[in-house]
Amino acid sequence: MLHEEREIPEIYYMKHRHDDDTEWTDYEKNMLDKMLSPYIYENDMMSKFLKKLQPLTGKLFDQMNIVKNFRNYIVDKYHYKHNR
Amino acid sequence: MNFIGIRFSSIKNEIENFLKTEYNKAGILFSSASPYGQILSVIENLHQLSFLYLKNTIVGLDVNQPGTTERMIKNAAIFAGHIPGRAISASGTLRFSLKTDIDFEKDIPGGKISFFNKLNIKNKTNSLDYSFNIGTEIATHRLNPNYQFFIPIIQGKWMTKSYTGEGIALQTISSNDSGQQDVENFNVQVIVNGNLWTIKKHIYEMIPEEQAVVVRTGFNGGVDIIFGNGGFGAIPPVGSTIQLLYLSSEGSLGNIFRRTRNDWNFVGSIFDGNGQIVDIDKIFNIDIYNDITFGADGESIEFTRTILPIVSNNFVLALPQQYAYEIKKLGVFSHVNAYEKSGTIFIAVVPNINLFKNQNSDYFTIDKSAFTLDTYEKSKIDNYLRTSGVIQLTRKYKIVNPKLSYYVMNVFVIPYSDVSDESINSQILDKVSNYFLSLSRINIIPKLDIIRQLSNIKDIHSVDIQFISKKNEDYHKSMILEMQNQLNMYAETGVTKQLPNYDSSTTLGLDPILGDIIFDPEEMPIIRGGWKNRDGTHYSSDIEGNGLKSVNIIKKGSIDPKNRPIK
Repeated sequence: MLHEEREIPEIYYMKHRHDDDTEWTDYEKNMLDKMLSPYIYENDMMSKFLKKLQPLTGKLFDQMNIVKNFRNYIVDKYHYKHNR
Repeated sequence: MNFIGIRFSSIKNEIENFLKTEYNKAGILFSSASPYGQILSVIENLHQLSFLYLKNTIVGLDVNQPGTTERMIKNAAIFAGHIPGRAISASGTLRFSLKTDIDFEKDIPGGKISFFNKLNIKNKTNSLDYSFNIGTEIATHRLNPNYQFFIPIIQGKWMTKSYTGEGIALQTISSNDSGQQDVENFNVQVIVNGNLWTIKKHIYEMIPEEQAVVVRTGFNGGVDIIFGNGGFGAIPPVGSTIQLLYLSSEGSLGNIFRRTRNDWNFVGSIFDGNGQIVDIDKIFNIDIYNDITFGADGESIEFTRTILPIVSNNFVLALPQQYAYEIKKLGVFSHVNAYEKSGTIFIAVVPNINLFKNQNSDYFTIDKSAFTLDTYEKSKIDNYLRTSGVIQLTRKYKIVNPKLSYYVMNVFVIPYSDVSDESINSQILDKVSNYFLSLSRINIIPKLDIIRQLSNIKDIHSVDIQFISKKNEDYHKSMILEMQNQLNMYAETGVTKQLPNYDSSTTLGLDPILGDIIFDPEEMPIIRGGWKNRDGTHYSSDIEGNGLKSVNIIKKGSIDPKNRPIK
């Protein structure tokens, strides 16, 4: 997610280590996995390819969040934990 | 390069053509069922979806667009300085009285019980969560036979969410509940590294390094939390634990109108003197002592629109309209009117009867007490006003019950002849009941409002209405009587002067020409019989009765159904 990629992982972890809100969708980790037939993943090469493709498709949605957050001055530009 | 000419579908076609050629080399047929075909179509759909998402988001920036949703209007109101009201939990009091048939020593070892604040209980009938609201962290009761105690409860379940301090100035957190629940309007707590931080309305209310935080209704529902910048409020240290505790409320669904005994399941635990869990249902009878009411849903869009002109951004309670604004924001009153008289602000409020009435009762059958506030309800408003704004020094206010002004209503109607009288009558009564239950007028009720509602009944050809005001009838009755007495007296004494100053064309409580209901700020008109007019004709308060009553539906002939308008 763009929100995480702005900082080095250690700093990001430190700033979010107590966060426990889970009511959001991590597109980068499960978007294609949920939409494609599981049968496709039985081929190792295809599975590896899809796992690499998944974060890119997730970015499609992640980048829309910038516009979505445009008028909400409370949240970060890359805030992605929308649940409504 | 012509970028406008680049289309996702063209790129997809090119990829498909490439794959077809490659597959053909291996002697295999490529189709959309092939793995890459499937991946391509999923990616294409996702791409289209994200564009739809983008379009929706851009539309959301303009509240004048036809697709404007409730959230967008609320966001615009937040920009205007208004803090939309969230759901308010119903609250009331339970009475616990010790059962007489218990074995005191065996059932309550140690002879005492202890319980914590926020203890979760569930109502058996509506299956909603309620919480103890005792004001202290823990309470202990030493029991003896016939002992009873009272526990204030509030609808909702306390939830906790954790966040991390980022160590930056003006850190903000946006949090909301998913589903039907909403973060309760008043019951929110913020704890940083174990310390409870005070909740303020604005960052300028916080002093340097004060452990305080601003909580507002969020852009995406729920709440937004804004920490200080050092000068105005402290900054949570980097890596600190920020806990948000809030009551997850179901709003008006939590109101309970019945007083069923032992209607509660205990989810949380109550402990005896030995620290063991007590089966509370077994040893106590639990009754609803004060009705569990005042639960209201979050602010509706119609309400946001009506309240925006009187938005008060300074949290000061000085002018009557600022009082009216604060109380209206609660959402549990249908009629709020604040007016100043001799330096005191009088606030006349009528509960939103829709929230408190039984589902089977209507406007004409509910008790008149539903229109007034009891002392307990007044104290709730008083408490709310004292916590919601800064009351101007020397300013006095008084919460009053409005004076009920009685009216009866005649409805003249020409229905179509293929409809039964019962059907017409029930439809008319239903419309009138609904209109007055959600009355939003504060000084005049135009006949037009009601005629407009009645016009929606398809079985009516034409309709007119007339109001009769008790105040007006009482005035004429007393003046005619006084005139008569004076004239009788003059006939005996021969004096012909000093007749009372009576104007027979006066219409009190009604517009003299149009016949609309007109009422003062301290008045509340209700359609209810139970009184006599100037001629002594009695209007009954029984809406089912045969004679004249609160609403009299008078048929003036009927129209052949073939004259119904054709769509």
